[in-house]
Amino acid sequence: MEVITYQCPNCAAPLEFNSETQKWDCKFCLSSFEESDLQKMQTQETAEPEESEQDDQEQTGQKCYFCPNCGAEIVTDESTVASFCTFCGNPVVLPKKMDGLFRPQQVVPFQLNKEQAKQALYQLCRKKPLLPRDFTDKAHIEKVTGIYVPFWLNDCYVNANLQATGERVSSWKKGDTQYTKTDVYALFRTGSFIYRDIPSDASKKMDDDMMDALEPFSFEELKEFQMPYLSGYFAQRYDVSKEECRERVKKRIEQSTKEKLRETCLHYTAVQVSSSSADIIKADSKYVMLPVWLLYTKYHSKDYLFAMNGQTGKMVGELPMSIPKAFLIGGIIAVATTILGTIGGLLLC
Amino acid sequence: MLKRFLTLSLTILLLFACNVPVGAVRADLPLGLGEIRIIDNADLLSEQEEKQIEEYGEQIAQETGLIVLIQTTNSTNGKEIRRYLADAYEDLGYNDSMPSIMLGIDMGNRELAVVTSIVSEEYFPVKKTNAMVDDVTDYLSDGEYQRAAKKFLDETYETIRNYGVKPVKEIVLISLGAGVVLALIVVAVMVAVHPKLSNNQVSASRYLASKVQMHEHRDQYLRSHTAAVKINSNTGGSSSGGRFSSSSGGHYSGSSGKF
Repeated sequence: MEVITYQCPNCAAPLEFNSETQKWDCKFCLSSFEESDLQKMQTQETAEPEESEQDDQEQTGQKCYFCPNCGAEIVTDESTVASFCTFCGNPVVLPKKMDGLFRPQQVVPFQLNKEQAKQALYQLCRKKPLLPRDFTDKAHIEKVTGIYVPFWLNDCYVNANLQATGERVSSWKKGDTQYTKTDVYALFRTGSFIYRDIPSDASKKMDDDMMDALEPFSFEELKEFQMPYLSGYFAQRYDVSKEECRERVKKRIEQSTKEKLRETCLHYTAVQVSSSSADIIKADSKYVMLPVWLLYTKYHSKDYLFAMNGQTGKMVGELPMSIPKAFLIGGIIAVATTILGTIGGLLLC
Repeated sequence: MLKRFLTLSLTILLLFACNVPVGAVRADLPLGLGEIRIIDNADLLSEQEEKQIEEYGEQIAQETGLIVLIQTTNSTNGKEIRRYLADAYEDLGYNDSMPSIMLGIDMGNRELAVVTSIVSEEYFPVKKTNAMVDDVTDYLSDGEYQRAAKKFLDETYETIRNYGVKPVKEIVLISLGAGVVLALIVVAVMVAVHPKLSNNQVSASRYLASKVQMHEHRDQYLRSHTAAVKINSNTGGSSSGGRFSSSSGGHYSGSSGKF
């Protein structure tokens, strides 16, 4: 199977996507290339197949490729479409894995580079004394990884209804008695909703809730998918179908329609929703790649995953907390306060 | 590291607590006649009870050097109870320059007062007389007049006995409690500001392409019900206190309250 490394036409070093300039840079000769330049290079390479044809072999669900740069083996799983050679660090793209249905229609390129992601993480960790050192360690933060995550963007036409009970409460005073009158109403609401581009993560490896929390992405930045965007990042292809994803989307829509219809129940002191439902009448999905920075931490045998939206910088995840540090700080404060309080108390008494 | 720190801290604390002299300074007791007078015009105490209180109060008066007056009445003749009590005290031949403490009970208005001559105010500040009024009130409300008088005498004795004694144990315990509470608050704040990234899902409403098209918007009246609640007027009393003068111009301090 074909393995592509986007190489600098000047020095043959690997090219990586620069999220700041939105161009492809060679870190060795400092050349920079536009998308059109890479397309030309790709056309030439397709016309003249490389001499070193790559082999692939299946090993218990994993695929084995050869790095076009150093010839070392690159082992990936079925869904990985872009990675790095473990030996020479060469970024590689596996284009055959994105043929046909697996070729994304669009991509949101990374807007934040690794340096910005690390800086954001340092800022987050600053003056947070309960974070364990293992996490705030520079060497650990260096491990933050950029990955293109497959998403389905769903357009949905929805009919929804809601039934509720509303209460209007009025109160007045007469003599030494307070009167409270409650008027009860049955509320009926039905409406049509049109949703555009509701994202749902299409990778089994990614935590669905975490990916949902990374939203929003700005889909105005969506670009037509080109293979070179993946160079320098990890990337996964979808392994959750749009039909499976739509179940999760439906739940989100049900919640949203309920909220929206509830908002129309105005001028009531209290509203109790008794039932609500939402039916997706028509739906359409688009396969896209969205940029995410990930940092995995293992602390006290527990896994912590930190994620950052590669476009907006929004951060989600759980960060570890050092319990011994909390005890130490609490102990210092308690002892210092006791000593100072005792001295002060004796002086004042 | 943590164990070492805690051991060291506890050692310092214990050494510190041990080195502070317990009951360090004791102020001079009030120098006075040291006698008790009980004038039970309202007949709240039986003869035997009165005798018991007198004997008990005599000891306390002797030890503290205070003139102790317990006066009960059915009417203060329109006077504010504290002034009535101060006047009664002066009628007995005492004055505001003598260390004294008085308990007055007016059954007509169901009021009580604890008053002290101005020279004893140092021992019985208003905060203290307020507390004494509150403590005695509980017994008076229950009709336990002898126990009320005994409580008054006990508090008088305790106040004088503990005057000037630095409550080291209490100070250390309060400081320790405050330290623990402060530590818990600080750690709780640190835990609260610990980067917990919001993992809340963004509402799908964000992706609404247009306004909701409403097909049905109906509110149907079902029923009404009315509840009536009687408003309670506030009947609770509160004690008041501070400096005041007797009819003759003597200076006193004390508190009064209702029971």
